[in-house]
Amino acid sequence: MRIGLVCPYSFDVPGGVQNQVRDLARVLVSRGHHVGVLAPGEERGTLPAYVELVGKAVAVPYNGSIARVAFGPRVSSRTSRWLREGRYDVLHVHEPLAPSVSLLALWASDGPVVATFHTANVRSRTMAAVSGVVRPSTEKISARIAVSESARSTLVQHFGGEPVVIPNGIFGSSFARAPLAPRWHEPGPVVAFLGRTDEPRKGLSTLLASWPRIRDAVSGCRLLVAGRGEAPSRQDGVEYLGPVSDDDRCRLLRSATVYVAPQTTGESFGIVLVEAMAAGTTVVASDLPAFSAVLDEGRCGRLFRAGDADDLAAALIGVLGDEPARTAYEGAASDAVRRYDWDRVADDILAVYLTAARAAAIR
Amino acid sequence: MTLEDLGAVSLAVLVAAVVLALLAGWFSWTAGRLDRMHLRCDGAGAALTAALAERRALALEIAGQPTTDPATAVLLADAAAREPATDGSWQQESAFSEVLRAVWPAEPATEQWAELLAATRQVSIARRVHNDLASTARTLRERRRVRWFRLAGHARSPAMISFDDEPPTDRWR
Repeated sequence: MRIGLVCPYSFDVPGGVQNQVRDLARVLVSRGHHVGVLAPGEERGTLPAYVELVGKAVAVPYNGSIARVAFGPRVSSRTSRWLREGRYDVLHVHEPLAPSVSLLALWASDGPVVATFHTANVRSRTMAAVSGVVRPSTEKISARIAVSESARSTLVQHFGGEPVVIPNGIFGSSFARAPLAPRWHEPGPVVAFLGRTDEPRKGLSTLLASWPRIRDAVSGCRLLVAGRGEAPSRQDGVEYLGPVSDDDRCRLLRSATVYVAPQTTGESFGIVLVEAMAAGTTVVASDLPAFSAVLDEGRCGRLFRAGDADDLAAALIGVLGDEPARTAYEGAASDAVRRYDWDRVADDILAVYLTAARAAAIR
Repeated sequence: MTLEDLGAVSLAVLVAAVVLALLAGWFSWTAGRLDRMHLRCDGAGAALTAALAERRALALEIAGQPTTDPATAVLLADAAAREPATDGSWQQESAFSEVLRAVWPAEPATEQWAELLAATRQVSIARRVHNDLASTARTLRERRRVRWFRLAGHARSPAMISFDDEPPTDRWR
């Protein structure tokens, strides 16, 4: 099958949607499909030849955060040319409502289109304002995928219908088999945080507020913080690693005793939770709907009240001091993560492609 | 009638004509949207029919294999041989899914079982895609302008398709 994938956010910076598009392309190519990827960005680096970059993205405030997107007449004509030359059997656009190449590709396309909706936190006012403008485009979509129940209910609330839920994928074995990193493993116990340090909704400040209590209760406990952004003022037992490579991310998740996800809002999936589960590391996470779903309401990891430093401290102290509980969480988690493996996720996505292609061929 | 009155009348006529033209344009745009939605629904319905046919064909193939035990073969052949109902009842497909769950081997020996599993997945995805489109179309059909001005024409309202399509096994392959 000839498949065109479109990512609205710049490949020059790391991000959840970009990683999903990149990994999906890899899986599809490995299965013998012809794949083309279109995305904003200008740094080719080690990107495979099938990725086409439309040029530098602009950072614009959109939906409550900064999105790195590309638009305008030049980008629009490049998108049309990419579509024409690719002659794709199915076009798969990600986040089609973001003001970027996904929307432009959807606009220009006249074949079967599959669309994946990633976010759960599209503001109602944003949605109300754009839904009239983008409706003619969204009605070109042959099949809609939501990455989680949270993303699905947001979509249903604004556009109705019954989109298919297919979760994000991970390469499970690369986490399960990642080598331990001694400096992140010993001396333990080690708590790991991944995410931007200066984005309030990632919740680092909640974690840091609870840290002195955790450090008092669990002697020698270390907190490793990996991610972009400035390090807040130093605290005892807290190490800032800065941004880490994909390999180091696997190793860090694998080496830590507990992975903590204190996000306060705005998460529609929680891919890092799934990665930590695949690495065999206990997850302690805030009780956002998406996180509760990934942790099966607390069966596969410990949940605490989002934004509540006291509850977070109690949860972490409890889990760090209770090895049997950790073993139980990790056991339940290792079964649960199978449904996120790319093998399975890609089978489902290909089934959607085939439905869309068949539907278009028949009518 | 004075010249001024004539001017006022023609202005009113002009305004009315513009309003009518805009309304007509909006209605015909809505009718076009509905038309495209119905087409897409039909397409997805046909994709579902194709997936169901594939599921039947694979089950018949397995039933015909010498390695398949006779009881399984009879059940599969019986469920697969029935022609799909044309009256919009999906009862047979539910029964088919039930049979598949009953006969599914703990250790599927041949490649055909894996293909049949993939076909069942194709069925449930196609049904969901169809229902997503159908429910969107039905929502638009319920709008007042569509009902009052009969913008849907003679096209029948796309029906939601529901039948049991639970997979025969938790295992993936």
